[in-house]
Amino acid sequence: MEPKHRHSPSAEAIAEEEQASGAGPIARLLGRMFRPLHRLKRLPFWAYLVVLGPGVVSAAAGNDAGGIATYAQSGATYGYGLLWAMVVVTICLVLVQEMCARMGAVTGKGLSDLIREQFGASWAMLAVLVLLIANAGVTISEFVGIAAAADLFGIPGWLAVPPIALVVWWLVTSGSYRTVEKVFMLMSLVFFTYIIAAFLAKPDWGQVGTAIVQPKIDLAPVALQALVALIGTTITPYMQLFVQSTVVEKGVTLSDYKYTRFDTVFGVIIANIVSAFIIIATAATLFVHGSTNVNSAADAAKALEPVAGQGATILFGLGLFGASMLAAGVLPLATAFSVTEALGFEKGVNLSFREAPVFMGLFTVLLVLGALVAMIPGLPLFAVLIGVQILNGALLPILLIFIVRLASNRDIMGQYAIGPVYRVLAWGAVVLITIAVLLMFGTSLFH
Amino acid sequence: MLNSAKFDLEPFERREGEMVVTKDLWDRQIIDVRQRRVLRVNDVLIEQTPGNKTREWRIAGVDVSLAGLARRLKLGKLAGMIRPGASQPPVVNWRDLDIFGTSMAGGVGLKHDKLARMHPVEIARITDAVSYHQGAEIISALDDTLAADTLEEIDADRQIDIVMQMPDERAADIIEEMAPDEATDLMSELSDEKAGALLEEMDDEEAEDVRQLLRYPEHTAGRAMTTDFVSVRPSMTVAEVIDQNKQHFLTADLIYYMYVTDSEESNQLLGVITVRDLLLNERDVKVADFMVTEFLSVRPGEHEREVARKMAEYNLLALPVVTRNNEMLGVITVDDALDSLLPEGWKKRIPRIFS
Repeated sequence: MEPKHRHSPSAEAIAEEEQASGAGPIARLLGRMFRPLHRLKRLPFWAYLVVLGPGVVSAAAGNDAGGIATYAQSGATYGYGLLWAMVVVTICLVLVQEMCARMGAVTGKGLSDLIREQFGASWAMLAVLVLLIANAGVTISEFVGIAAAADLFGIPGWLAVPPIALVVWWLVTSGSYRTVEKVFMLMSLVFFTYIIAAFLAKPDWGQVGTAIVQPKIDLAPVALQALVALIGTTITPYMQLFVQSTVVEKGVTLSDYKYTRFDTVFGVIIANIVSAFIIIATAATLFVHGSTNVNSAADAAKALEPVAGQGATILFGLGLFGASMLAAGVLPLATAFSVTEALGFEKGVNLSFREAPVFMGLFTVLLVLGALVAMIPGLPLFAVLIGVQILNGALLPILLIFIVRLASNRDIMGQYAIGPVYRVLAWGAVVLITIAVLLMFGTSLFH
Repeated sequence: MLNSAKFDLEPFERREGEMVVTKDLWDRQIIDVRQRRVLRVNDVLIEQTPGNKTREWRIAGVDVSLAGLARRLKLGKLAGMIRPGASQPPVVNWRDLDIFGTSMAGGVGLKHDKLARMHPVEIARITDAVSYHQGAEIISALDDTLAADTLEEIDADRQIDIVMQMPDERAADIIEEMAPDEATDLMSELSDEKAGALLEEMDDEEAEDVRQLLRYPEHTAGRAMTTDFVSVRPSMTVAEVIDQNKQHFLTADLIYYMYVTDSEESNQLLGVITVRDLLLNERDVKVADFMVTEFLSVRPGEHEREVARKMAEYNLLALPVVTRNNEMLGVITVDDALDSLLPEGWKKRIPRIFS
């Protein structure tokens, strides 16, 4: 018989110790969200391709409420007219995301962290302000998306949003968001059906092809707003934050960066192919039949009718709800994380409400703000969704300038700083986006 | 310098050991070793040395508060309005802070004596909150034993990132000090070349232990066990057990159980004694008289989960790992077995970029 020990840890004792020594709920959640993949790193490249699926899945799920609204509106109003812009924007996004992922791998630091250390307190505060405004906007748009989805099922937004906001807050702070997240992700996969819808709608593929390769620039203020919204929703500022901190938290370093680069680039391309098909589907169903304005989720759902018929509304509603819920939790969290990082308060480790008032306060305020705005009665939901994307697009150049300057700085990046050709391309992207934004402001002022 | 007639007009250059407040302190991260946290410097407090006629100025501490940040942004009025939060003292005393050297040219950097004021678990938590370069800098600044204890507390992925940043020689010195099973876990995650290079650098004895453990597949008792246990002979007296193992009691992972084997060579496990037995028996009593000969053991190929289940069922702190021929190989302790019970879904390893 083995000697029995009085102090053998009982189950309760173990649980208690875990509670005492473990990190706070937020830290645990973030830890779980950015789980590293050391095992994957050691696999051969082909094995990586096989398991890539989820990376692509989550990329496609990144098409949130604002994205769907913007692409659907663009397809309905301009037909295939903005498809060429999708190509240019995709190239820009690949460059931007690659730079951020690379910075994360080389420095092991987040974006706002680097901005603070390299450009000092004042510039860092500008970046923080930009991020706060842009991300508060997107958070609002996620709750607007939730309200719009509820609307489709006949539930008024003001009734649906408050309990859902509470649930999201609780899911995130209790650390159980990760578990339900997969359900939302599955729901948002509905938007893949736009690809089928596009084919079933039998668009004129010749026209589609021409539209892709032939830039058509419309200088009307409304058209430029649509363009900036398209840019803003595709290259959302929070994506840059997110890709960089994910790389950092996953513990990706230079030795395994090639896989991350592949995943990043591939994810961007897949996500934008889905986006392009949303434009094609809405163009082929709504635009060609003369309904050129998407004012509500019900309008946008019509583009799915070739696939789902009567069920289009339900299908679209599920997708919209899933996509909105997916971002509604992560976005305020990532924003609070990034802002706290720039300010220098504790982040990531050992956080509870009392220990990290700034972090938790920001997270809560963003969530409440998003919910409150979405509850305003009679709010033109789709107009708000697209307005937020225009704001995102307008703020984007500020952040991009920081990113390109950091990525080409040899003090930070050493030999991994972006080379001269890359630099020209990256600055080219910044200039193009800035011109689009300035043109929009310019023409809007003169009309 | 200002009271000499000649001005030194050479452009300023940072000499070794010097630092520039606006470059190396402002906006940088520091470790507050008293509060055990990583913070960012918002402003620097400079004061005149009290009671000193040479009018020397020195850095008293750094301001980490929002008010300090507002001052930097020239929002003085706002700074006055922000009251210091009760939970966060706004100033970290210079004595209680440690600075990273990564950004600096000179020899200024983390100091071991300051970091050593913290517990390995706390140091590990801090390395988790900073970049992997800074994490490696922290570990490098510690002495080998503390570095090993800290490294054991860091999760596998971070361990690898940190070890990869260090010169092989230093990394090997630290890994030697780690418990053999922990060292093996770390080695098994490294690339074959890197692990080979490190084993090459390590002392033969420690390297052999690791090689031994690496032979067993992952998640088996053989992989999770430690080869560092106290073994005694049945013919020894209580006094001999205590006297001959003094040094070992200091370093071994687990000393509550001691394992009775017949000889160094054949290493047959005969029984188990405990620290309690040593305390309760007279000094001249022989081990054979009180050792327990009915005990549970596991095979090296057994799954960790099975081992953990046995431990939980019988309320044990450790289990001996023996071959089919009852040869003693090592000991698996409850903390190692526990790791296998913590959920680790395969989904966690899937890449997520845009979610």
